[in-house]
Amino acid sequence: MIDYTAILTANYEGSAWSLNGDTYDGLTWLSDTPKPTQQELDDAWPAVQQARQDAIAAEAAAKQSAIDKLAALGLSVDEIRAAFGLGGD
Amino acid sequence: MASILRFDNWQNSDGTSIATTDASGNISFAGSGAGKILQVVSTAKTDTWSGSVTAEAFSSNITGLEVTITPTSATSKVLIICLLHASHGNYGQANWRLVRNGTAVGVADAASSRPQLTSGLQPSDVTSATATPQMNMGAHYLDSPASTSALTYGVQLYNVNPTGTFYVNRTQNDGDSTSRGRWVSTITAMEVSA
Repeated sequence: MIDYTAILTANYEGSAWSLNGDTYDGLTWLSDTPKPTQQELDDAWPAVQQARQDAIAAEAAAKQSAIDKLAALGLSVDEIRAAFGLGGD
Repeated sequence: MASILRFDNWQNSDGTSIATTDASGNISFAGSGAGKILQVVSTAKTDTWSGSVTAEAFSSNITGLEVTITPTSATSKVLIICLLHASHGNYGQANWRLVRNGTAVGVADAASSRPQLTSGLQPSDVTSATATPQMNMGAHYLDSPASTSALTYGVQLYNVNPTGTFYVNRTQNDGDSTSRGRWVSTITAMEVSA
């Protein structure tokens, strides 16, 4: 299912809109700019989806990097979790 | 043999009406009408809503989270019960107000430029790591509309932060996963006799 909310949030920052439900039919465009077509949004979905996955992966990598660096300083996993909330999931 | 008591208007010795009956057989007791629930109307929004709202402004009514009630008497009160599931992409905020026919009701007293809200959540102090959030996403409010016209109650979100999207009944990352839920938001109106 295409997440139109994610596309609008990523690519139309500064525009005012609302989306009722999950489909394009529920899109109300409140800005003076032209309302994007469904085709335009559908075409943008793969890139938005990839960017979201990249962001999740980057955050996970940063988290693991921090854990590794803290562990290198001699902190145990329990200490890292207690102090920074890292390593819990 | 069974006894039958028939009356249209039961009065005390002073001639004051105590109870009356109508053609349908309903009995109404004088002086006992206050606080009765006369009608109940409820809406459950089971799908999602999302929206980009202008900074420091309220949204329009959330589509599908409205309830319309027509009081039978101008003295009636209307008890509104609302449960909202919402979040925002930035700033950890999700504030909202109740509106009746587009006008705010059940909101806080005016306090200079502070937004007058019904309920919601946001960080109590973004500069403090220990400050607890201000939060409560549900609300009930006893309105006195003094009207017998149709009244539509709805919910409007308030955007503190200049960027970000509001999410109702869904999470920001709504990817298809068993770890991400969907919710229901409800609004109920009850006419209460005066």
